[in-house]
Amino acid sequence: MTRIPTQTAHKVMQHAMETNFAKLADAQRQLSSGKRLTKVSDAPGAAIAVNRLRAKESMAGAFISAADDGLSMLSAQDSSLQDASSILNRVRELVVSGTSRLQNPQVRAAIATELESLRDQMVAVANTQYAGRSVFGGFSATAVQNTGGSVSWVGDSNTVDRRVSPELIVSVSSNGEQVFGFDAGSPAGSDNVFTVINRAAAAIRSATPEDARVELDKIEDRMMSVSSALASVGGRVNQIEMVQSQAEDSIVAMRTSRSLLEDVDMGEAVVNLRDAEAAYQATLAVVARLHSTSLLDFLR
Amino acid sequence: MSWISLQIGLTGTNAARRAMELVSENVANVNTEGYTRRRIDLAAAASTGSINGQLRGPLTPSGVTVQGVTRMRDAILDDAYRAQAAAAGSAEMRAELAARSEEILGPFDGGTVVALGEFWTAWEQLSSNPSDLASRAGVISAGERVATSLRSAAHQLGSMEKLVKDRSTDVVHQINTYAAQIAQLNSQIGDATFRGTTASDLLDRRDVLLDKLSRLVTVSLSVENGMSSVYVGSFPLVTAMSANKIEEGPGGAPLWAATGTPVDLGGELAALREAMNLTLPGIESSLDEIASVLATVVNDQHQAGATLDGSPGTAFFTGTTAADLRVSTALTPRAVAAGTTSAPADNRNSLAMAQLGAYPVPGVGAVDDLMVNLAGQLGESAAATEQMARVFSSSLSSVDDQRQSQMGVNLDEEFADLIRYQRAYEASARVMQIADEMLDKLINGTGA
Repeated sequence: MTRIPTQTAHKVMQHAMETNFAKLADAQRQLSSGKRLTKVSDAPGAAIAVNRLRAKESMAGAFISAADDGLSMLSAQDSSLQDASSILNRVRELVVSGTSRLQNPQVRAAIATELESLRDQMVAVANTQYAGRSVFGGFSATAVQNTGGSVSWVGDSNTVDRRVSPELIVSVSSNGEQVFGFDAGSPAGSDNVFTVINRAAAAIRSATPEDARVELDKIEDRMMSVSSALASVGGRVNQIEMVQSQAEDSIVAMRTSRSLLEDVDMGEAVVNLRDAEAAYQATLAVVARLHSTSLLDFLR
Repeated sequence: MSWISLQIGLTGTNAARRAMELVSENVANVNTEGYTRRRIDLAAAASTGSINGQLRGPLTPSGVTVQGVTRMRDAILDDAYRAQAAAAGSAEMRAELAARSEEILGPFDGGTVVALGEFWTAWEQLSSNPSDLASRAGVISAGERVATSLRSAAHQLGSMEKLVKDRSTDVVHQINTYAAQIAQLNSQIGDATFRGTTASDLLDRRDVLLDKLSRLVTVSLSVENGMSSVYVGSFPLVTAMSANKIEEGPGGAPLWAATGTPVDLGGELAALREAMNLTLPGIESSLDEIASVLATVVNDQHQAGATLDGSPGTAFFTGTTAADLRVSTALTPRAVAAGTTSAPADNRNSLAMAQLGAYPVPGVGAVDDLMVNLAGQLGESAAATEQMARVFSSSLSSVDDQRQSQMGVNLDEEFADLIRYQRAYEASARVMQIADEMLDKLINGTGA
């Protein structure tokens, strides 16, 4: 038979009280903080996963805002390019009607003047800015410079990029040099949209307005480049929107799996707390009863 | 016969009184640490009936004698306890140190690991708005948070190193003190044994000291003529009445003062030395590696870029170790190299910066992986050592329970003994009374 010395009995009771109290405190802490993991050693494997998920989540947040920024910049280009397209349509109409010698010179002069004002509108379109940055001029603040009707390319061919997912960098600018034809004709740039409009206006104003007819093909080319830029912008908007919605989904997924790893299951926690409370109260009751029991009580 | 009965009754009351004294001593010491329960050894006394050394006639009964006092203690369990104590001591110390090491990286949801992740995110955010001064300042302050938390980790590690060193000095000092006390007790116990008295209290005190000593360092014991010799490895720490001293050599390594040879390590001392020589320097070099890799990759990329004013980027971080990593004081928001040119829209460098966490440095690995691995490794080691400590302490306490079940005082048992001896006393007294009455009858009632 094992002897249980009085001191050991006390120690056993004390240990039981301490253990059960610690469990109770832990259950309360988990319930009040809502976290199961408070340090890595609570569950090293899960904690490492949580650390990685958290880093990915905050990165994904940055990707989503980069995508938002990119989408705004692209939509600025979209409306500018729509404007460019309608300006070019008007230019073509004017050139077609202006090339006839039957038109009297005053009318042709008026057409030429309108063409020049359309050219200035086109300059404004080319210099469209989003948040203080040019959308067609690469890294340059302006894309073109208008010096008394003669328009020159001052942008560069850099692309403005946004990383919208870990693997995908999308250009959110359009190459103004191509859109406005500063690479067209020979020598290159001689058939840019501004020069073409200027040449057409000059011809229409002159005694030989039919000379402007050759510019119609060039205008057609520019309309082509604008619409292909529009198509490209639209394609990229779709791409970014798709990636962005994936990123939003993945944030939700990551948050869910992180929560599974580090958060307390409330129902379970409440049950644990009740269990711990019951165990602690039972221990206290037992200790109170045992402490008061001694042979001395029965010796008279 | 009545004279003898009187005598026998007297031995009975004497023995019962002595036994009750022991019971009260046991009761008084019910909560004394290391107290060994005592039991009286009684034997029937038989007079030899000898006269002048020659046996004359049969043995006659002559009551009870107190043969001695037994300390209810099992040397085998003591040895088992002391063998386990060193293992438990080192496991518990290891767990305590590992739990502290885990804290140096800061809280789980806001420490160094999180700060590093936020630093890369800040660059990613800057890439959406590269000329924005607030975003540029955001990158600098995120960098400062990383540097500060690495510095604070290095600082905490430093104070931990100091603490471990102090503890180790303390433990060596304690071992020397215990050894000296044990040697002194040996000499007192030797004296007592020579005088033929039992020195239960002294033995208890020596056992307590041996228990404490065996947690600090692995010891082996041998007892000769009541004196304990204590060996650490093969070197005697205590031989009979003399004790050897341990002193701290270069780097705090414990050496025998007498010979200058290293002490065989065990127990808490081993755990402390291990932390000082292996664990803490390991963590320090991991932190330094993270700091230096971070500074190198960030600075290289930053210097490849251009500031808002068009000049080439300068170093982002200064310092090469965790203890001295700082964001360069010369770095202003305008001087952050977000692009490769001075163009406000240029975000190429910040796009590249945001990816540096995963950039695999040849032979070392990516800084994010280094960081997560260090945090994981510290956590794993805290969890594993905690588990080990629990195993060793529970096996130690199970040995101690066995030991306590022999040597511990149970009050109910003592009260039962008290009643038993009280009754014995009363009975012996009664024998004496009856013998007295018989003598009274004989002396006063006859011849009248």
